[in-house]
Amino acid sequence: MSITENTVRHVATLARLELSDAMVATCTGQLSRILDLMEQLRDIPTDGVTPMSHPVEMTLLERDDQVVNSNQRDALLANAPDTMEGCFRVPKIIE
Amino acid sequence: MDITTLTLAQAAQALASGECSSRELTHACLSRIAWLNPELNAFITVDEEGAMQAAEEADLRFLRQEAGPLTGIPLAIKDLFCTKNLRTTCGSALLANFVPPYESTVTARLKAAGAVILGKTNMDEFAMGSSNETSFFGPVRNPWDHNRIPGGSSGGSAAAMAAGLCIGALGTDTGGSIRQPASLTGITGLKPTYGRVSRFGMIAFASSLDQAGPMTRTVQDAAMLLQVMAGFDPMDSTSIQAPVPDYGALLEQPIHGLRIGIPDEYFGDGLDPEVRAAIEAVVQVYRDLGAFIIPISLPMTRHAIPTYYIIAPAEASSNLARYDGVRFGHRCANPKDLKDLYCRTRAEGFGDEVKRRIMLGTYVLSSGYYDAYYRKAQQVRRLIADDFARAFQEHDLGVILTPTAPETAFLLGAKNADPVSMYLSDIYTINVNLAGMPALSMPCGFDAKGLPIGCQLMGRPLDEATILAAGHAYQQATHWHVTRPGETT
Repeated sequence: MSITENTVRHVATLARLELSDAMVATCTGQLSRILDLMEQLRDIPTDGVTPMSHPVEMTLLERDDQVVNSNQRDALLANAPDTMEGCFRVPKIIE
Repeated sequence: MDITTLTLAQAAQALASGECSSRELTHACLSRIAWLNPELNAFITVDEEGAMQAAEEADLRFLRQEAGPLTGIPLAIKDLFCTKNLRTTCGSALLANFVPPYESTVTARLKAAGAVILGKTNMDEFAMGSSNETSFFGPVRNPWDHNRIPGGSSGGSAAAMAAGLCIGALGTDTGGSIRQPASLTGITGLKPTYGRVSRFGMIAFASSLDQAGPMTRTVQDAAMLLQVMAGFDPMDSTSIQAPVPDYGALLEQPIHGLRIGIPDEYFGDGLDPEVRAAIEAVVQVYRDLGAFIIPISLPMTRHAIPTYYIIAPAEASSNLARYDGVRFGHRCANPKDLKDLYCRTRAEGFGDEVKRRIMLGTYVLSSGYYDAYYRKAQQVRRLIADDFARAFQEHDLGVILTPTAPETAFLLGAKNADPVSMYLSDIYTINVNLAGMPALSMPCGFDAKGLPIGCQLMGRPLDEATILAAGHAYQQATHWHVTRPGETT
C-alpha cells in the first residue's frame, strides 16, 4: 500500500517530529515499502482470535499503600534542560 | 596466561582460589579496552575509576570470605541499563548527557553480588537496529573482521565479549538483539522468558517484547549471570512471580532422550548454505549425544516480521513520547512555543531509524488504521505463540533448534539503504520475542571467510534450564565457543 506525502506530514505532526522535505520524501517511499510487507497479514483468518497484548497471562499485583520514595526533587531536576525554583521550565503556553 | 581469555566460571575459580585478584583481572580488561576499543568502538563510556574501586571492594570481600560467584568479575553493560551517576545514552544524541538518578534492578543485583562494571557498551540507537550502525556514537566493528558489523542492537556488548574486553556482558533482546549479535561474533547469548528478568531501569523500546539477558563466552557463564539477574521484582509489574531454579546444578541434566524439534520453515530460501551446513552438523552432534531429532512445522513463521514491525514500532512510538525536551535529555535552542520545542527537540535528538519507527508506530496506531494493522498484528501474534505451544506439546519437545541468523556478519553499510532488508536479519529470532519464550544462541562453526555461525535453541516459557543444559552439553562436545578472533588491529 502506498501512502502520500501528505499522510506522512500528518503522522509527523501527530508524532511531534519536524521532518525536512527530503526526509518526508524518503519516509514516504520507505514507509510504503514497509507497509507492503505488512499487507500479507490481511489474508490470515483471525476471526474470533483474542488479540495478544502481552506474552504472560498475569494479574497486576497490589502493594501496601505506603510511601517508599524519599524526596528526590533535586536529583530528578538535575537532568532537566531548564529549571526554575524547583520546577521544570517550558516556553510560555498561554498568551 | 592472558587472564582475559578466561571464561566467567574459570575467572570466578581463579578469584576464589587467590590465583588472581579482581584488581588484576579488572586492570587486564581495562588495558585491553584501552588498546582495542579505539578501533572496535564497543564502549561508549569506560568507567576506569569506578571499576578499579569496585575491584578493590571485591578483593576485600574475598578476604572477609563474603564473596559470591560473581564477586570481582568485570562486566560490560549495554548502555540501555540505567546506572546511577554513570552516563546512560541508549546510543542516542538525545540522551548523550543523561546521568540517571537511579539504578536498574539488573545492574543493582549484579553490583550487590560484587560484580565490577567496566563501562557501558555501544548499541543501535534505542536498540533499534540489527547492525549497530544506527548508534549516534558510531558503528561497532566486528572483532572477527573489522570491515563487518557485529550485529545489533547489543553490538557493543557482543564485540567486547568476543574481543576479550570483559569477562561477561549484558544485552537486551526485543527482536533478537542479544542472539543475532551473539551469533555474528561467535559468543553465547541468552534471551530469557519475558518477565523472568526485571525490566526496571531498562530504557524502554517495546515493553511487551524487551528482555535483558547475558552475553558470555559459554553457556555455563550465561547460567551464572542469569542466576543473579532472574527473579521477581516489585518495581516491574510484568516480572513473573516464580521461583528461580538453580541453573548451575541443572546444567548437568542428561540430554540423552531429549526431544529436539527442527522446524522446516527455518530452513527455506534465504538461508545461507554454509549456515545450513553448520546447523545440520549441530543436529548430528545432538543425535550422537542421544537426543531424538523430530521434524516439525511452525506454519505461522513467515508472518513474524510484519507482525513484529507493527507491534514493536507501535509500542516504541508510545514509549518514546517521553523524550520531549522538558525533563531530561536534549532540548533544541530558542523554541518559539511548546510545540516547536517538542518537534525540533525530537528532530534533532533522534536518528533516522528511530524516526522511521516512530512514524510507523504512530501510523499503525492512528485513527482508521488501528484495526487493520495493530489489532490484526496482535491477533496474529497470538497465532504465532499458539504455533509454538502446539509444537512443544504435540511432539513433547524439550527444545526447538534453528539457525540464529540467516547469514554471517555482513559488511558495514551493506543494508543501510533498504530498511526491509535489514529487518530480515531478525527473521529467525523475532518469533521468540512475540511468543515470550526463552532462547539462546551459541557458536557452532565458521563460514569460508572465517566468520562465526550461531545456532539457536528455543525453550518452553520459564524453561531456561533445558536450553541451558542442551547448550552446555553441546559445548562440552565441541570447541567453537573457545575459538577467538585474531588480535591484529
